[in-house]
Amino acid sequence: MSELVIRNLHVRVGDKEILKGLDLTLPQGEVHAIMGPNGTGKSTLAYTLMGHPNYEVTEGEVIFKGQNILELPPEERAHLGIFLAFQYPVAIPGVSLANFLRAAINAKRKALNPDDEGIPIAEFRKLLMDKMRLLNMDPSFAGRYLNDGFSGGEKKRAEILQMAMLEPEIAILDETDSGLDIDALRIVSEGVNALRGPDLGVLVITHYQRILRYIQPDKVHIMMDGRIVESGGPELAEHLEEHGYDWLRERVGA
Amino acid sequence: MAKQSDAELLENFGEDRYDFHTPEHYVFKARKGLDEDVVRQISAIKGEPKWMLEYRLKAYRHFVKRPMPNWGPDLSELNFDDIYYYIKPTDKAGRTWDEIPEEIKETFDRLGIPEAEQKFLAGVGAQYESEMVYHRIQEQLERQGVIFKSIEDGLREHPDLFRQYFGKVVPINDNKFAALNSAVWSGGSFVYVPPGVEVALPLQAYFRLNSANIGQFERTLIIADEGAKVHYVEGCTAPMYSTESLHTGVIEIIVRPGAYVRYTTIQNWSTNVYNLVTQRAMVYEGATMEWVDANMGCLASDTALFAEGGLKPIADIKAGDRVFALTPEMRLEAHTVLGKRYSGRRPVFLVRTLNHREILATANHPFLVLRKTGKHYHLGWQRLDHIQVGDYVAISGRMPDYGEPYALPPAPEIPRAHPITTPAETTVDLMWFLGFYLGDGYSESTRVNLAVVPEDPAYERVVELVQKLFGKTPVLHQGRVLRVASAPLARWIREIGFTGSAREKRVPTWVYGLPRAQREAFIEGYIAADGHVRDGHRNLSVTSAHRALLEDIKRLALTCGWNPLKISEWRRAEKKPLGAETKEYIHYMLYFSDEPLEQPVAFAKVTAIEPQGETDTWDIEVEGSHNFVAEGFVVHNSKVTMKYPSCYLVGEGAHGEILSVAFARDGQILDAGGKMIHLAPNTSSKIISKSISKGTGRSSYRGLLKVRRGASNVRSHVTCDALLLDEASQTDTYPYMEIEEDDVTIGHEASVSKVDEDQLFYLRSRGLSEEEATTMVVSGFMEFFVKELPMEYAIEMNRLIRLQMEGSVG
Repeated sequence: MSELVIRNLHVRVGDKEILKGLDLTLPQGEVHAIMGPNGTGKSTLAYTLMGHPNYEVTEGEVIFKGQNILELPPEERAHLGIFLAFQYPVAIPGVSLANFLRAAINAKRKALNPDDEGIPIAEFRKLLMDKMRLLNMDPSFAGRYLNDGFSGGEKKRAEILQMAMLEPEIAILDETDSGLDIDALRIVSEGVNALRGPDLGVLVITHYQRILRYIQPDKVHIMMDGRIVESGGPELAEHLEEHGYDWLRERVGA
Repeated sequence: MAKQSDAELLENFGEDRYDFHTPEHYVFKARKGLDEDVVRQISAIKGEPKWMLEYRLKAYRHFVKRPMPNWGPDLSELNFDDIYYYIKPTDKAGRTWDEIPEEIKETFDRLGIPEAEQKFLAGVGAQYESEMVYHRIQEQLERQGVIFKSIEDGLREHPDLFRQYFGKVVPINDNKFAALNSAVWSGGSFVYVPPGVEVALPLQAYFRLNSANIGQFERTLIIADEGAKVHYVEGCTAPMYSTESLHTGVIEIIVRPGAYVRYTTIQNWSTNVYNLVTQRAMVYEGATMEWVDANMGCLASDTALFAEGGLKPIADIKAGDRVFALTPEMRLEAHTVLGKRYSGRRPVFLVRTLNHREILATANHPFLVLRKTGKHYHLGWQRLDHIQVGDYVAISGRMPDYGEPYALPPAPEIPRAHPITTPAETTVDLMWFLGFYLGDGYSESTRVNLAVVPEDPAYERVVELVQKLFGKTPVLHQGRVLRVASAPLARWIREIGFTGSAREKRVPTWVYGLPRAQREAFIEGYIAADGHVRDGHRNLSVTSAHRALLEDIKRLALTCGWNPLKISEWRRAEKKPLGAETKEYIHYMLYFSDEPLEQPVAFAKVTAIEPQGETDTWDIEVEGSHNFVAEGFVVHNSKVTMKYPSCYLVGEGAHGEILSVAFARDGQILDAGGKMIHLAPNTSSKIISKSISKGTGRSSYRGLLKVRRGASNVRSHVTCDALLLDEASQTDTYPYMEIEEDDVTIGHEASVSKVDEDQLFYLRSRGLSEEEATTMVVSGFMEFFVKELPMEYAIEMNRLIRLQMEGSVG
């Protein structure tokens, strides 16, 4: 059992410091939510954990499986079991969802075992169809070009489908609830819940408490001005729902 | 591009390909060059009927008369006299696999091309199992009445059908290259599909190729009779490996009413072959023609390289010589010259840099350029006509010490003259002496004179060296000339290349091939004679009345990593003591920078690019390299592919489609597109062109859409999408439209996109490496095309894309 440990993380984008000493520990098997007002650095945290080149880490470390993952390129973080469900997935025209997923699965298998010959087609198809059923997706979806012309809900479902296929150990869901109607939110949440288990740690980044009604978090952290300012149980989310962020702002003087 | 009339554009808008490549591999060939006898010979070997011979001769005469096209990429390097026009199929005693260059073989292996195909491509093993497959297809087709034969067999076995259609779509006078093809055509396919017959499997030229080797002047004729359906696939995805410099094919297709023809080409140019093909379809009522056309860049790290000028005069370079080329690690390494080709008299431009390097080059010649785009500098190849004053071009600096001492003949024995011993090969001392001699020496029949006064710091060394090298003691004459009385020495010095008067002396070419220390000693000797530091100047300079000599010295200094600067002219009116009147004397001075270039490659700012008229130009080809150091510049070979399949929609309701993709890599120029000519009402067309440019590759779309008066209710859509893989790559779009009818619906879309960081990050976050991610984006861009291909070609195409992308990242 591993855990993701973030220590004193400072991140800059351009000249601006966004994360200012963030600490967080996410064990596998737990679901943590990070909430916070707009512009506090929630998405910066998500991108930084995945290794986007525009985010410059100036201090701190992120340890997973005994390694500082900040030293790894994005693909090696993925091979290690880290997954980011994007808030705004980009389109890759001409590349079908199925082909892409197969390439991604094979890349990971190859990274773990250089002699691996890739997932057999039949096994892949079965796996894909199973997971698509789980997410209530039409099989024709597999043949569509990745995120190309997808609706907001389809994009988010496709992200969770990728998560289901790649079987990560740490999944970061960046505002997965944004832009989803209530039905889509329920389907996506059920998908995530179905994947929950002792081997998966989930970090749900969200602006609203809504998604947390479907995905019960073990812990809730509140982020402001680039730091975690409050942590607690699920009741913290409800408290926020009722009272907003002002009480916290006053407390941290932000 | 010069503006042209409609007629010219149409006429000239031939669809073509060209090539050059490695010299002298074929065993069987006619002599070089083309005349009526060669044409007669070709026709006789093939045992053709009289009408075909006459057709060929007529075409030949038209070819001779017709000027070169003056639009599009530069074709002026083509030299029609330097080409073999007929090569016998090499099926029996041809080349062996072992003769294929290593890198081409490697490419086959990486492509996973089966051994049989490899053997076929090598021109041997024509009787392979593919032959059996071909026969099976043949039997099935014959039952349906389909004819699928070599063009020669078509002419022999179906003379009436052949004559009815041959040369009707692309007439002799269509364009210069079509005329050439019509005169010397050899190899190609003949296909006839009877009315209503649908050929289920694609007909693949590959199977037919075994029985008749498609040559450089391929001719294919396809006739789909009323309501017939056929898909013809040309070429295979193995690199086109050619030994000849010019490929000119003609593809004629007749799509009879209600018929459907698709013609797919996948070409993967491994060489620097100029490749011009005229591909045209005549499309009748309600019929559909589709061209699917892929042109991939050179795959094997292509070999050919061209340069003007060199370490020694390019006219003196021959196969086996060693020249310098820049490696990807930015080192200069010696590479072997494979061959040289005369490119004719062509307009050239003088390129001069701030530190006075000068080279003459043709407009299409690529240089290595450092250019600022945005915040970053980008290093890449640019054609001279895309370089501007202010750009930085790569110049050679300190080169590896490549040379070897030069073996010298013994001094001649002259009756009654005292024999002398001269060095058997060059040494540092000898070269210093010869350098000094070049500056201040002259010979008479019985003695060698060196103009040097005893006060000159060089005096002692000259005396000493004459004794040491030749065992003679010079005598000072009239206090200003050292004389060495020896007829054999005087003659020997002339024999090793130091001849002529002060205005005629040059540096013998062998000096350029000496070890650096000897070359430097030679220059130092010359400077000791003719050099000085002028008052108020820091830089050393040498003076001579002979400009060409200073150019030699400059070139030699460049090979040593010195930094010679400009040669300036200096005029002075003077009355010599013995002269009757005042005369103007012209001297030239060559300056040297006191900062030598320690790095192998440096960059110098371009200060001038000026036209310099026409001159003889040469191309050379160098083993394993794309570039070459010429006159202290790093230059690249140039290559061009031009292809524009066309549809003439002559029947009402006819439909034409052109799908094309082009992938241009470093230093490559791909000019592709298509031509749709709407000549009847209710006709429709679609052109989709996708291009990818990588590194400094440059791909262009050139398309013509023409709607003739009377062709009402025409619908046409043109889409041009370009994908640029990095900052330096370029793309151009030249959509020409000539619409003479009002009642038309025409759409045109063009897009240029880049592989963006977010796409790459997204894919990498799923575990793909940067290279895999980029390749995936490129594959996606090509997908629309790949899915149109027969399965095995689609697989090959995807492999090709991956190969093209290899090593493109990181």
